[in-house]
Amino acid sequence: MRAKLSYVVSRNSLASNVAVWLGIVAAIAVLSVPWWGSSALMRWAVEVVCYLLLAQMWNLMAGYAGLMSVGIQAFVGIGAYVLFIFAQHLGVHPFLAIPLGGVVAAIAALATSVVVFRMRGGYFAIGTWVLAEVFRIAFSNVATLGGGSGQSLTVMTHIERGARERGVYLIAAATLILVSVAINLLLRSRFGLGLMALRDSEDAAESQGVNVKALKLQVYALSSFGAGLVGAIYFTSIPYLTVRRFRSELGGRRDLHRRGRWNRHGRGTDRRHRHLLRAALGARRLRDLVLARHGRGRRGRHHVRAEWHLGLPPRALGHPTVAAATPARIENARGNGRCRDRVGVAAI
Amino acid sequence: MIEIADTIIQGVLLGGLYALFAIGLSITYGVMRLVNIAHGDFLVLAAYLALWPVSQLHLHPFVTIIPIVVLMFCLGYSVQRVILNRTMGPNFLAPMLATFGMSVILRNGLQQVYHSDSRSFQIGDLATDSLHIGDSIAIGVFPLIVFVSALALTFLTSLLFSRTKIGIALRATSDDAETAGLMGIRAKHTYAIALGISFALLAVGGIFAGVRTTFTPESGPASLLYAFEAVVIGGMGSLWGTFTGALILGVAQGLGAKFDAGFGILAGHLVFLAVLLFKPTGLFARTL
Repeated sequence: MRAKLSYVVSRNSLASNVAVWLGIVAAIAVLSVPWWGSSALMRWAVEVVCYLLLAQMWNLMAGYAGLMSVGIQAFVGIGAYVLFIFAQHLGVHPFLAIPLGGVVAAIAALATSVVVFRMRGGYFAIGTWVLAEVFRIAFSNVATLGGGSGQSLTVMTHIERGARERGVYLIAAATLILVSVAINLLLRSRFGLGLMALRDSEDAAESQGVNVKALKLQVYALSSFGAGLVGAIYFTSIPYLTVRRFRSELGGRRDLHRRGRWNRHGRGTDRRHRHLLRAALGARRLRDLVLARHGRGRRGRHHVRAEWHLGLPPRALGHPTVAAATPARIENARGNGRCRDRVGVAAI
Repeated sequence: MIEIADTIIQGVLLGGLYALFAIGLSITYGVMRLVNIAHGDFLVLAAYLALWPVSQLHLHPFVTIIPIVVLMFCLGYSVQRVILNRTMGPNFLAPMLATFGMSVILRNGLQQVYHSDSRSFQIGDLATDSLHIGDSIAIGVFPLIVFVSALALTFLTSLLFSRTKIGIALRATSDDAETAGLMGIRAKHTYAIALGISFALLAVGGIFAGVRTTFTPESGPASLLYAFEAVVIGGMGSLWGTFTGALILGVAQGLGAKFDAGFGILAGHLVFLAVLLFKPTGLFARTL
């Protein structure tokens, strides 16, 4: 007698097989970009990858575990600052410091979960936001990390430009592929099954033996790890960091220059920039480097927009190295042929 | 010693302003479990609404309070009626995401219309007048007005909740919307009233905040955080708890700023986190 199966377990279908092969082709295409793409394309792609990764992490956390956090930017920032601490101050190779950013972000997430996990639902959301604010204020009070005005990752200049761009791109692309594959495998595992049960009904999952609390904590740490990686990768590609950069990646990117927030000295950042700019304009030799436009732009009447011929973004004007950019130093940087590059300028 | 007393008094007065921010949030959470992420942005909106009569018609900012309050009440009522009521349900995420969207739209909309210049309201000598108590303590007249208004409005709101028909309807809907519906209370209307009251209180807070400091389209989230912290410190769903929470927050910020200028707001956040850690239900929790 042959026992007849009343059900069939299938773990893949034609569609999923096709999708896997398409995914592999796409991954190869993505990884081959450095051999045919321009550096502008790569820079753009790194940014896209960062947002994609962040979105995946947030989906894992909010979509599956129901942890509606609006404070994930805290971990992006921690990842970035860890990168800076290890690479800039402790001499670790920047590319090796990237995973450390993720690890420290995950540890920070676990440590702070004691507080934020006391809240549920909407209150959890705003609680995580407060936590992110705490990190922001705390970091902006540390002078060695650049305080409120930020700092530059000058060690990136030690890597030759082409190698740097390819390296950052490949790390970003590889992380995206690895994370995507890992999330897929994870969701197919016991862990993922618990996660999906949790998503559908927390109470039902609990009653079926899913350890809801532990699972939530794991997901929270995991997505914070990812957010930390994103922060570290993002700022190796744009190696200039201020606390304001990571304030609200979820709400869309905002130009620091446009924010006009009030700092603790009671002055708007815009005004501070204007002040720096005026000082820079006062120096005769700088005048041909700085183009300032006064006008009624859509950013406000008093807005002063400065465009550095060197390709420095306007927001970098608040940076101490820019403030310290004396004509002699700029000439020196020009002589070294570094001045066309953002990092080069920041390294004046 | 007297310096610390002074700092505490100033902190309490600042807390009065935060109470105006927070009571609305407390009401919407208490009545319909709505976490309004756009709370701070509507506060800024109220201030910008008052900007036109103040700058073009040269009205005193305090005169604009009543029309703006009425306007904001209507706005709150319609926002709940037209948008949020459609999202209310067992899932708290939907209304919250809706308010998150409103927050982004409001912030960028205000940015488009008013640019990011910081604005404020001038009230002449009243802003700097002060009452002297002893030699070293001076109480600003304007902060005192704010504090007394906050006290009065909290009192009136709690009277509204305990004595009036609409207050009973609000509490009944908060307890059990379905049963209240059987008794003839329309939840949709009640919810809209709640958000209207919340916005009306916001309007007062927004205009006072605009007199006290400056505002930009971006100052919403900070106000939301202060309001939220006051609600959590005080305990959810208790009006006087929220009021006290706001005072505690104000004092914490004052003492923190005394210690180090960059430490003020952080101290407020830390007190909030400490309350969560040791008394997560808040200091004076009870149901509305």
